[in-house]
Amino acid sequence: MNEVFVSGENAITSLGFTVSDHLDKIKNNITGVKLYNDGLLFPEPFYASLVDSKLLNQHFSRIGDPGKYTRFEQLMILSAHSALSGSDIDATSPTTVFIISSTKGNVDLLENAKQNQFDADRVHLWKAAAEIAGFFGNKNTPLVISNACISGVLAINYGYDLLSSGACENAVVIGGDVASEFIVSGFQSFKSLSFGPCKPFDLNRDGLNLGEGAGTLVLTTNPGAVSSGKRIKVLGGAGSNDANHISGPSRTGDGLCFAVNKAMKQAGVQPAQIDFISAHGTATSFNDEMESKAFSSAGLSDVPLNSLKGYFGHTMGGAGTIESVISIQGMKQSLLFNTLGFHEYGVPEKITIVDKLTRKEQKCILKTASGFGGCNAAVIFAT
Amino acid sequence: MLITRSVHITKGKIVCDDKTVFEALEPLPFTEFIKSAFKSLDTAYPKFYKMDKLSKLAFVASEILLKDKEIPQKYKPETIGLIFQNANSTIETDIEHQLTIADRKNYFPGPAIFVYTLPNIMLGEICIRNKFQGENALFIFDKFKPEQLFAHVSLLFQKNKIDVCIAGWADIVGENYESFMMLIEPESMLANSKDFTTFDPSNINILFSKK
Repeated sequence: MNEVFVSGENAITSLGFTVSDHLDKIKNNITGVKLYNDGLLFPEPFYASLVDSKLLNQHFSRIGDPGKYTRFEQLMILSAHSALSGSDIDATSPTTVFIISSTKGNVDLLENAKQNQFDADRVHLWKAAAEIAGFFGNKNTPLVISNACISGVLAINYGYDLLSSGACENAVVIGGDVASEFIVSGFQSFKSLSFGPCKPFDLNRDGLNLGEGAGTLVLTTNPGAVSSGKRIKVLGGAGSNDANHISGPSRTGDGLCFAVNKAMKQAGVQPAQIDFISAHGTATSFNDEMESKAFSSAGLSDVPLNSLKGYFGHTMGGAGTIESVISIQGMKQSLLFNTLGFHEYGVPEKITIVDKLTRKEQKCILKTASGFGGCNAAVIFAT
Repeated sequence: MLITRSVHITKGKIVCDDKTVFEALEPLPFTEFIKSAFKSLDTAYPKFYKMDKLSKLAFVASEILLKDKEIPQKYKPETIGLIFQNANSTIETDIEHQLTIADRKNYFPGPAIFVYTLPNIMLGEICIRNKFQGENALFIFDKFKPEQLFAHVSLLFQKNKIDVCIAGWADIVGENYESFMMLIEPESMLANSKDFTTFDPSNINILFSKK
């Protein structure tokens, strides 16, 4: 079985367009979540983390024609472009595949005002993915995963499985979503949006903040394509289903616990070897409660854990890749990032929440995600 | 790995292995067709009526695929995987949700529709119905890709992530609907393994072309 390395990363959210933009702000507890009351995405005011459209346009203009790509595609392409420029991978090679994860892609093209801007089939994820991979001159059919909010973690797991088994040499794993009115109105109808900046795992948490953005991990089996510094490997991952409810998490955490246990088995590590957990931590009442039960059942109560949602909200199909990218930087710099918004312990089972920027060496970390449809996924990275 | 059953639903007809198990007597719109197909199964499952079109399509296919196969008795819940492909995601339901927000003066988005704007919800429905708790993945391609499905499911077996798999395709746009589903089990779990087809891309194609 081949080893799989992370040879390039990028994240784009309201915090910025590069990894260092994110770290500068996260280290200083600066959030990109703010109040939107312009009525553009929802009639009523709501808190969210949105990428500035003017800035996005400026950044994209440097690499391509913004008129030819949708907002979603621009985010995905920019993120992959930045991640690839830090890596020695040939994106055009037949042995490189693009794995693209998103919940809704270009669904905003269904809006009346946008219907004539692009061909009708652009609303489909396979078409958007072809545009994204095509930008880089890659000729393989892009592999698209659309599995609610675990899409990004599943995409990393799939990339790992393909590379470790020798099916291909490199994978450009891009996850992302845009916060359209379609999505904002839907989450609002579920009453799952917070009335202020979200408070993961906090006693007074009252819901999530939607976020948008894209995150990319360039994976390779070629250790020569990994730049100097701490070398990060993917050790494996797994997924599961709660089989409980389509729009609410398990009340016991058994599904997420299955995914975590299976991921540790795939990676060949014991709970005692996990140095840090990048949790999903959406700050909805039921999700955070469920996660505390799952991590406690998996024997991970004493492992430092954070949620990054307080910085850039819940980026949906991008959450898995964006949060993995940030957590990998934490490994490289031996830092645990604060759970912004958390103040008072508010989950039923014991977990160890990181409540300030903390120095800690990490050899092995766990990233998890859970989503509608009762799905869960976990992946393990190591130095 | 062996394909121990396959089900194909399209154009008013349901074929299971080589047999037509349900056929509408007259051309019916999808919603009527799938309702009568569900009724013919004689199953009490009121949740069916709350599902969107895509989930109803996949659900009926899965009920026929799994009938009397005793999958929950033979395999542990966390080892039962569901791997599906689709082309149009949840476009029918997306349009329905979009209509609820098209007019700010008549604005009525609701969770009952919105939750079905995720294509993996159909996997969740089948998991809830059968208490399956293994790997889930929903891939999107412009058309059914037997080679990718075969490669991915094989990889999951190889890596011991699953012991059994429900794999296939479910897609609907307007009145064009199609679901193809296979039950894939290891030989070691079967007493009569000679009766079944080997799980490989060419056999998937042969089964997929039987309609």
